[in-house]
Formats: sequence, structure tokens, C-alpha cells
Amino acid sequence: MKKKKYSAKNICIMAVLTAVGIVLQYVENRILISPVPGGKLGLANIVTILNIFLFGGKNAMAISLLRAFLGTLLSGGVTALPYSMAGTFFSVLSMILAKTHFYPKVSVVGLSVIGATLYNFAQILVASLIFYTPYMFSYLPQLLIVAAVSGTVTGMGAKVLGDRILKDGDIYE
Amino acid sequence: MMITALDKVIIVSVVLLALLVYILFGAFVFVESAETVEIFVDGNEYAVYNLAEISGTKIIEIESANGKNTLEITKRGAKMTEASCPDKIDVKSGEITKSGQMIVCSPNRVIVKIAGKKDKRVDKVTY
Repeated sequence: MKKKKYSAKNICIMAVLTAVGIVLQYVENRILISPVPGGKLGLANIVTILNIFLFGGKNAMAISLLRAFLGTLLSGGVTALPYSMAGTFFSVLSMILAKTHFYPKVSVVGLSVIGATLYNFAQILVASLIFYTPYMFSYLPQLLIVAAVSGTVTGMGAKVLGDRILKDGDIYE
Repeated sequence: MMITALDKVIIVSVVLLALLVYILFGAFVFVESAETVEIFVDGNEYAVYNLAEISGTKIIEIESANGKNTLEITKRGAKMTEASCPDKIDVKSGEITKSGQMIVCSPNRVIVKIAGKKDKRVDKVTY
């Protein structure tokens, strides 16, 4: 039986997932010290991946951008906003595209790595535009390694969580 | 199985891309020896120091509309020792010694860059 996407229950779940994403982003920022400038684990990406599967691309994008906006204001401040927003936009977009074209050949872990890679790439792109220097790309190798590791870790997290949430089909479209 | 074959391909290619960019930067950008330390605030040149003329440790206070940074320059290179920004990424990034390397303080919009011989040659031509 197909359930309505915008039922009161689903809207509630979207709101809760937005809040969970904000908290994950905030907690991660407080606890983990990045070894590389601009690098991060991206725990909130777990929520983003779940959203793509639960509510589809458009909703996932809206929830993620809202989460990135509020979460960054809480933890990073206004100056971090352009990086975070651009990174989130391209990361979610790439994951949606990869999911529609390559899932399930590419699993959740692969999607997460793609998202993390694009996030860091967009971040550097924005930084090189803001500071107006191509030398910013010298940070790319370190950030790509961070993306490969963090993407795999968060992807596995999303897989474990997704298997449990999606199994009962309760809130799936 | 959690990770599919294509996942592995993606992870490996991201790592390979990282290596490629690293090697390319090493081969074409970081080759020249360090000559000057350039400080930029808000995209504009703030100050330039010649490394050869530095003796001992020179401490520079970079004051901008956005905050304050303290830079330490030695013969070898430069490092940020203090910053008014909350994340302190510039302080954490440590010392830079090679041409093309830089320290970035995003909240204060400060960039400290090491420039090499090649940049100077261009200057001479245009001069």
C-alpha cells in the first residue's frame, strides 16, 4: 500500500531528521578536531542519505540545505556559511544523481564517498573564489583522502541505520 | 556484503585522484625554493617579506577589519602563532616552507603565501 508522502507523520519525521542532522553537525564540530583544514567526518551526511531514500531527492536537498544553514550558524559562524552551503548543495546533488543512475550497483557506501568528495571539492572551489587564488587547490589531496575515509565511515553508518529503518517499511513512501 | 565492487572502484579512484593532484602540485607548483612571504588581507596585498633578509625570528601583527593574527617569520618559512578567529585553523596548519604553500585564516580573510623564484622572474620581466 502506497502511503502519502506529505502526511502529517512524514512532515514530523522530516522535521525530526533536520533536528538530528543539526545536532550531529554541532556535536561533531565540538568533539572532533580535524587533522586537515576544512576536513570533517560529516556525520550529518548519514541523515542526508537516509532522507534521499526515505523522501526522495527534492526533499532531501531541502532538508540538507536547511540543516547546513542552521547547523553552520550554530557551530561555524557566518563566515563558514558559503563553504558549507555550496558543499552541501553539490554533495546532495551528486548523491541524488548517483543514486538514480547507479544504485544498487553503487551501494550506500559508494554514494556517501561520492557525496563527501563533491562536498570537499565544492568547498575548495568556493574558497578559491573567495580568496581569488588557484593555490587553494593544494589542499585538495588531503581533503580527498579525508573524503574517502569519512565517506566510507558515514556510508557504513547510513547503511546500518537504513537497513533498520527501511525494513519495516513504515515511513517509506 | 556492505561494499560493492563499484564502491571499491570509487574509493580507490578518489585516493588515486588525491595522489595525482599531490604529485602534480609537487612537480609544477612547489618546485621553486621559497623566496618571499606574502601576506594578503581581503584579497589585497598587505605586506611582503624577503626570507633571505630575515635574521632570527620576526613577529608580525596582522590587523584587519575582521580581527588580528600574529605571524612568525624565520629564514625557513612562516607560521601563524595566534589568531582572533574561533576555529584557529591557520594556527593548526603549522609552518609553511615551500613555494606555493599557504596558511589561510578564513574568518579574518587573511592569506599568508610563500612565493618562489619563478614569481620573481615574472616580476622582473614586467618591470
